[in-house]
Amino acid sequence: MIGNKWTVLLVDDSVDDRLFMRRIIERSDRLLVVGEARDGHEAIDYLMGADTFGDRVQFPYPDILLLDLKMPRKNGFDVLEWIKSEKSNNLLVFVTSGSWLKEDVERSQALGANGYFKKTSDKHAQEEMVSKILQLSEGKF
Amino acid sequence: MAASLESTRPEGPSPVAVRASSAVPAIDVAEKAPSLEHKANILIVDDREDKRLAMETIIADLDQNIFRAASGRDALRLLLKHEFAVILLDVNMPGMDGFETALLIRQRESLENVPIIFISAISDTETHLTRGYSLGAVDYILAPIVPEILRAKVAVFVELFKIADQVKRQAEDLRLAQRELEERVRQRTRELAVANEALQIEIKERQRAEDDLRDLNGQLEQRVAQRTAELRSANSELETFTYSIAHDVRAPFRQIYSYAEMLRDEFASSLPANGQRYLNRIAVKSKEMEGMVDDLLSLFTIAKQSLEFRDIDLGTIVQEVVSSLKGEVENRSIVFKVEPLPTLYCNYGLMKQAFDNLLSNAVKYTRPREHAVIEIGCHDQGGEGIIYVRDNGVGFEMENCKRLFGIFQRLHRPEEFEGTGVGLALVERIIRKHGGRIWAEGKVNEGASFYFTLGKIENDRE
Repeated sequence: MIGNKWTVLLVDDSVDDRLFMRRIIERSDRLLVVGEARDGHEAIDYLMGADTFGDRVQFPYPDILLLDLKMPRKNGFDVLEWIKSEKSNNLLVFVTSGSWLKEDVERSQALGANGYFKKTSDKHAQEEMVSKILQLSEGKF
Repeated sequence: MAASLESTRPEGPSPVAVRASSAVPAIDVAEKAPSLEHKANILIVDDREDKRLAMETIIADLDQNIFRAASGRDALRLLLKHEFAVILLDVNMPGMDGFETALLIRQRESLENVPIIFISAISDTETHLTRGYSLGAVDYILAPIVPEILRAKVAVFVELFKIADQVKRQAEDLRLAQRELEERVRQRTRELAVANEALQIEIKERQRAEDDLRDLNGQLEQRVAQRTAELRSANSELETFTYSIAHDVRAPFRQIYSYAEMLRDEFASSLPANGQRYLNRIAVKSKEMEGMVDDLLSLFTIAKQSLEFRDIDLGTIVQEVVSSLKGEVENRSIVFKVEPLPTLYCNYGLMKQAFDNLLSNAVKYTRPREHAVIEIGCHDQGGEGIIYVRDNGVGFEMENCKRLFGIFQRLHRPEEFEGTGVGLALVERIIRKHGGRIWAEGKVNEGASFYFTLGKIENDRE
């Protein structure tokens, strides 16, 4: 948390979706995007503080992870599995995906995701997503 | 074979038959042997012709075959050829006398039981009687002959012979009949064996044919199963492929819309009126495309899902859908008439979606009506529950009926009625997924009716 804001790491291979997500998230004054990763591998490096992400001032450890599923190198499921194996209990993970498949939703849940949101351009749905994230963060932190 | 048996079948002698055969000449007797009732042979042995004639005359009344022999030698010769009921044998003959003849006759095994009546002069009675009986004579007649006595005695032996002969022939007939029967049984057994063999062959052939048929059938079933599996796999691949394309296409539309919206939010004021209008069109069109892809994806999601089925009260689903729809159209006058609905074995989510689409459709296409009426109910048709959703909306032309359920098929211009043309296609897929079918009836400006069935309903389930 920085100030009164929960910190968010965006993980998505689409630069456009990272931009939209950043705008959606920052409409809330309780959320702050502190970093972006372009695939699962980079996300894990960020969380580990590996290499260039070692500077926690520049790359603070996030409270919230917004995680795309379909990505090159390591995908969203790989990241979920890694987080699960780390047993770190100080991170909320929300999957943000274009997939409607029930099996993707179920697999994400089984791997410990705290929520699943379909990517949408609908403002109302976006607001619902943000409030759900805030609600779960309130409960956890 | 049957005919020959017929001819040997024993029949009781009848007086008519006896009289009919009485005209046959004595000499033909040997040839007439197979006849049932035939004359007995009587042999008269005497060296004197007058005496032979006298005896013959006496017994002629008996109407039997009479053989005459002038000496013991002649008598023996005849005895070799014929069978006799009785022999009248003169004792006093020159050369071989009656006793010597009798001795020779008795020596023959076949002749040892032939009755012999000795004819002897009274003067010789003493010695002759004793000798004659010791040679197996059955009787004695003393000369001069008393015709009645001779005739009566001969008649007794003829009768005896005939009875014996008849018994013998009946026994023979029986033996023949039995042999015939045995032969017939053998023949029948042979025929049955042949028939049985033929039958066995036929059974084997049929079994082989059946086996062949079963094999072919099995092969066919296997091919059908294989083909079905191939088609199913191809179909599934195609759906997966289409899904992934739809999925990939969706993102750019969403992104275009998002950018259009960002542009509008941040720079609308610096755009001229035309620019703002173009931007709006970009936003609307990309949003429309996103909606279409979303609908398409929901179609494939249904196709791919394996569904959980349970008994669900359709009435409850309809009530839920109706109350949520009422909330959306508070400013309109719509009457929902909900008749009793059955409990069906189905998937809750999908059935709710189907009713939602059908009822939303009805709400949409009754918009021009001041008072809209939407009816939902079920009627039984041959044990099949047919569920209907009927409205008094703008209806459609029946010739377009089939197009209603096609993907992206629209019967109205977008400015009349909004929509992507997926709603009914979705309903059709849902119904099909339940093993049912759906159809529609309508008329322009006179409303539309949608009917569907999920197969057999179990109305009586409590």
